Amino acid sequence: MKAKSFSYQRAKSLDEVIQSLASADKPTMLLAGGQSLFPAIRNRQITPQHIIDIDRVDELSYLYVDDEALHIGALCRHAFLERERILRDNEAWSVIAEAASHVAMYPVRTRGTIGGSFAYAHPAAELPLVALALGARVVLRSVHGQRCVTSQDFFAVAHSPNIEKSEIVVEISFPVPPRSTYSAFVELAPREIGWASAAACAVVTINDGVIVKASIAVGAATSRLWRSSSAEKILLGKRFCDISIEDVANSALHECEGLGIANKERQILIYPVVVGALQQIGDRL
Amino acid sequence: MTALKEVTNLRDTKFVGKDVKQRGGDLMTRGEAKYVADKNIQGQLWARIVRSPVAHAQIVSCDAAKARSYPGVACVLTSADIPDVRFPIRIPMAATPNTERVLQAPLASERVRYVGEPVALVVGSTASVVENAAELVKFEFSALTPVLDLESAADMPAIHPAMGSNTVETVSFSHGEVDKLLAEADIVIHDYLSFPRVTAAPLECRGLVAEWDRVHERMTVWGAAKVKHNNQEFLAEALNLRREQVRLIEMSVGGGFGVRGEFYPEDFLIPFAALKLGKPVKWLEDRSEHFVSINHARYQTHKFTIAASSEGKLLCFRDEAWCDQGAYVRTQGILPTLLPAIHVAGPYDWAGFEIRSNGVLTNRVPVGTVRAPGVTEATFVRERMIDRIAAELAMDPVELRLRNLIKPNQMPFVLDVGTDEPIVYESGDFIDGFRKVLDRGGYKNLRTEQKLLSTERLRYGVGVSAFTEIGSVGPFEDARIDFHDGIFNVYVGVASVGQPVNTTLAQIAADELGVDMGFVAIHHHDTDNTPFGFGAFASRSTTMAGNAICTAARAMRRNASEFLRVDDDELDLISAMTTLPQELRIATGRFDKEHPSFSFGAGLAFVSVDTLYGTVKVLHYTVAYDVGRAINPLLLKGQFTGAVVQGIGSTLFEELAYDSEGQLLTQSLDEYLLPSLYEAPIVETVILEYPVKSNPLGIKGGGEGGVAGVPAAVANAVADALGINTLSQLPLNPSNVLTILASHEPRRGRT
Repeated sequence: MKAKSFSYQRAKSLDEVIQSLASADKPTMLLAGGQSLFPAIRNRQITPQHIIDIDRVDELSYLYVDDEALHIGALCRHAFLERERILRDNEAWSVIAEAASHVAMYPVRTRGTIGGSFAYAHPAAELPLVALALGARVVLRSVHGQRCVTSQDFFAVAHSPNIEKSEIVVEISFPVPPRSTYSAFVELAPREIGWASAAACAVVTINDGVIVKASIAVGAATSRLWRSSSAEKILLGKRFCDISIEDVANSALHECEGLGIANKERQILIYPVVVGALQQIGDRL
Repeated sequence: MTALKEVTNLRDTKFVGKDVKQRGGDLMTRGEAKYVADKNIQGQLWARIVRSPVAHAQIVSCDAAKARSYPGVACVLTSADIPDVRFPIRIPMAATPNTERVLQAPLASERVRYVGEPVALVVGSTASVVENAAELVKFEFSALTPVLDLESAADMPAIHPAMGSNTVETVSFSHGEVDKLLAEADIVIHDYLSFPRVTAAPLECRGLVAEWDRVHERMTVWGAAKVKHNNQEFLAEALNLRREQVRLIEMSVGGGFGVRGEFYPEDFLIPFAALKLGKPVKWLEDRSEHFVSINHARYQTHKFTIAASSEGKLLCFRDEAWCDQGAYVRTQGILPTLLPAIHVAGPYDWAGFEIRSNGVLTNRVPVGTVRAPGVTEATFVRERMIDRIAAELAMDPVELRLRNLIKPNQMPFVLDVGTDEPIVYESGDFIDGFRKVLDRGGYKNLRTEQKLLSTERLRYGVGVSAFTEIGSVGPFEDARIDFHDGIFNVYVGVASVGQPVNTTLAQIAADELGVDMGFVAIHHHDTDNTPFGFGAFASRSTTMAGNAICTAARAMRRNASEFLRVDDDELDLISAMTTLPQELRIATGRFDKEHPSFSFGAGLAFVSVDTLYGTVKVLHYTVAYDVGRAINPLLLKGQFTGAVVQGIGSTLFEELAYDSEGQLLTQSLDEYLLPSLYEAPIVETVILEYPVKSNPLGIKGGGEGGVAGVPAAVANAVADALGINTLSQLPLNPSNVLTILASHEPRRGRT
């Protein structure tokens, strides 16, 4: 198929993007890596009339760590994240690299960006799931200034991320985790390449042998990215070796069913991905 | 095994039987081959089909005014603007009086019967223009209840009122006294099995370019495949032209697998528009369009009863099947209903069976054939049931099969099925063939590995399957050899749907002519210079065209040696060509084949199943297939290997899923999952050669059989790994595997 006609603008700076978004008088979309946007435009599933190409706005391409957080610029490519040592060598953040390595296939990962993945907010997207589990925040910018949204709030509504028309995702910031924080990411797909049918990311922080922070995030098998508070509750205050991983997974499954967000054909996969993620953490302790 | 020489009276071969590389294969891998998408004509217009968005509805009204006035639009056609034509069934045995009533028109009038059914055609200056204009063609529909369930379809109002029923035809075969055998049997097992709806999904979607030559009054269509001459006839008749006025040209084809090249609505609409407008018209299909327009295949359910004695003698079976024909019967008629029935009995010596195969009309895309049609589904059903007998007897499933396979001294095996024509297995040694698979695949070692490797979570399993498959279907092919410009030009009426007939046929021609392959060119692309032929399906091209070439080549040599008065073994044909008169530099040959040939095939699968995740990995697969005689082992190995991987796709993840409204849910390659390199196991190929006497070359088909046993063997291996009996549905994706496991261990994964 051929895309419907649209006007095209290649932005040179973040400022230009923000100004253009503010003054846009027709349906406008931002183009980063284009790996999801282009197929959707060509299939006429979405029909923007104006496209602002931000792919060369280099100021959005950065990654650094300071005292509070790991800052990942919106234009960081999946292929860069999957190899980044800062991520790989960190017990908590290694899941970011791990998740990035599961995005589609390599050629896609060389183009696709973390910011694009967030703005697209697909319920089976890898990096948003991991961000949700790690308590990351999404930094948005517009002519009105900067706004920070927790990933919990950002992904609260299926297929509709918390982002205004005039805003652009500029950064994802992952808070520096407490010591002894462990994470694991598992995704389950019928085929090696392709969208996951179910995915889970588990993060636990252990202090004096007891779990003091826990996060169980589930995606792909649900209509939106989601954290299971009931599963997390079971983990808190216990020693990891005393937990019944099966109970945690079943609790996540039940809570999800209760909320009515489970995909009927795939909900049977929620249990194994949660079990798998917790087993991975258990193996590392 | 019979020595090849004895049955085939062959010359010494220099090329036949050798690993000759595919001619032009490098162009395809480098992306330099020219496909129909690469064909462009100066001044061409573009076409876009408007398709039904609903599964079943009356057409209340149609408003094309806005589309017609859209800038750049040349014409918009609806059913009122085209002749009332239907495309006949090209296979006589698949046509019945009933099927005539449910053939598809190029554009729906009055009623639409599936999502994707063409309702209008827009032609205009560019691809974008026609897509924009297509969105402006507005139809008003009055919804009807879609018929989707196979077994209850017969009780629903007929989707074709002229037919009066949603059962288009019922095929019945019987043999022996089943009631008596069932009453006497020690073990009787019932099950309900089904095979999912799949399609071939070739890498390249369809396309057509049609041009009307106003000076010579001729229609040329690029993009033909599979059955060119047949389509030439259909198109000529539908356009009210003589056959000679229509020329069909085959470009490179990136894969056919049975679906590409049949006569579809577009095959009429695009040339019709070109004729009407007097301008070239091009149409390229999108992938999402492909999924709702090209033939689907294989969806069927079986109520199956099987019986055996306590000593492990298979006695009889009863099979009632419901085969989805989709919304219309297309050019392949009731093959989707007939072919499973022909293949259910398979390679075993049954005392009796009863088969009833119901062809069901539903509000889904019409059904045709995909590589190894009928046999793949029937093999899955039967071989699963045989494994259930083995489990019941606590007998090795391999041993059970060895005891019941038809024995070599029973060949040729004539199977009376209660109709005019029996099924005949001409040649083969099924037991020897089956043992070869076990030996090559290392059956005993796999059993040991299975025990050593299996853990509580990761289980390993071994599965086998055996089958017989129809192939080398007639009725005839012609070949013409014409020496000009220093080359033996061989013209045949078969086709390439990606498979290398230009190589195998050149090997045969070169050997039979006694010249080097470099002196042989195979021509099959153009109806203008090839003899009428039946095309490329049912693994027939090499057998049919190969033997026709063989006849022509022998005639050419004979004529030359007679003219020059030299013995055949002293004849140098190339130098002879310089002295022979013109009429002796041409030879023709025909090969008639009244009956199809059946081939034996078998498979051995080694799989692992992760019982936590429900993921199945096929680690090793051994495939064996009887080709009668291998013309090119290298290319056969490629065919078999590709076929195995294709079979793994429909076993593990391919499924055209519909919702309760009749909407197709899997309309992209994101959702309809094809196997990738990651899912390809180590494939061992065993080429079985049990030559037939019914053709000079002794060959049988080879293109399809590699698929046929895969779903059965893999499903048997998965059941074996999990230690379960009932595994009656595909695909074996993680959700389905875990659901099967949960039904066996109810507490798992739930509380």
